[in-house]
Amino acid sequence: MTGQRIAWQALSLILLLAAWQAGSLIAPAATLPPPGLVLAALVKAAGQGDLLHHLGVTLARVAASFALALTVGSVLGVALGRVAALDRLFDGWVVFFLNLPALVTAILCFVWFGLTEGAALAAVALNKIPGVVVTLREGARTLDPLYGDLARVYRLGRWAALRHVALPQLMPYLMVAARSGLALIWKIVLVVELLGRSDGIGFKLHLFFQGFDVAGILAYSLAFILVIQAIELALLAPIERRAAHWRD
Amino acid sequence: MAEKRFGQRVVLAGFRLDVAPGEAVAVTGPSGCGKSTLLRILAGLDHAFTGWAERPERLGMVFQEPRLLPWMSASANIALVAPFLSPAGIEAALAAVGLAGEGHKLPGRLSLGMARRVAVARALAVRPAALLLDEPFVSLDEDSARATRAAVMAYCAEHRPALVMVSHNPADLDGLVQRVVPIP
Repeated sequence: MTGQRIAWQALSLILLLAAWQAGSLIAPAATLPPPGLVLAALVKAAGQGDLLHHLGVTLARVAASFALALTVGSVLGVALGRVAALDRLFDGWVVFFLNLPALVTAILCFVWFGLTEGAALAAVALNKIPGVVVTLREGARTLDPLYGDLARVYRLGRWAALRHVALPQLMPYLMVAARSGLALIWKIVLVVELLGRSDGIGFKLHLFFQGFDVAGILAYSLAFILVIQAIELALLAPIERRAAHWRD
Repeated sequence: MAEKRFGQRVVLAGFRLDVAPGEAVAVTGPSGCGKSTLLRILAGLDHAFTGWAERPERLGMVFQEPRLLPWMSASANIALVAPFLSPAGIEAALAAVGLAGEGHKLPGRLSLGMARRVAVARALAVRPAALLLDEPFVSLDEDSARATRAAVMAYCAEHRPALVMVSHNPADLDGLVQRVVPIP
């Protein structure tokens, strides 16, 4: 990252904080607390260990549902992309689930399977799977048949062909699915926690909402957004760079 | 083989080709007569034809274009199809086509001629019982073509594969093939 880019980003952050501070001077303190008050709430919650506990619980749910959605969605997407009959048969299903609101899936999962961890994870994964299917289906359609011929001529085993021939071609699509998946999944996890769990950031936001504690809402939200951004920058971006190194 | 159809167009009608182990055959003919199609059929990549073709167990093939996996180095491209080769064996395979010390390069960093030579090295590295070469020396400069042809000839002399080669350049065939089979 160049120094000039860092300077622009710092300026952008300062402007946001200034606008927030100015807004807090106009609005009542209970409606929009100033940045300092939110920071104090954040430090207090972190010091008590409460924030870390709920953050950990929510992150575990994000990780589990992310892995589930990416795995199931990728397998289904590649299958639909490679087998035209399957695509014709299930394309309508994909469109249906793509348009199903996250809230409806969450409510139905809790009604059908009870207020359990499994129901929560299934609700989140079910919301993301159709998006992964659509992305990976597109990726599977673009697999170069010439490389497939190469794998057949040299009799590469299924695993070698998948790992060395298909997967590198699918990587850009997997990364799109992963990055958009992370951005969507953590938001759905909060909704699911708000509806049917007794821990996690979503659960805490629900408590803060009942007490009209806007500083608490902003402190917990801010902490979680920062963690997700860190995951994106420290984990997903390097994986993407590594996978695309040969394009340089 | 009897024939292969592309819509209304028929190629290789009544064509028959027998190649014994140790024999090298060049297939010639005008563009579109079915030379590359014949190689695809022999490689087991095209099954939509009338007739019969026997595919050998271990096959090395050089396609019309190098067809290296662009995300793997030249060495890794060879190691993928010949996992039994040691790093020294892979280096030797590259050296045989004049590419010693170039194995670490990605295909995108190689010239077309170098990539073609890697493709030839890859085909030879699998210790094939049959070699299918589709214009293997095209776009190579004279020295590279000579070195690559020498590598193929050395392999054939030592391992005696059945070789079927397509080429438009008669100079490519000199000393390499024993028989030229025209496709009408």
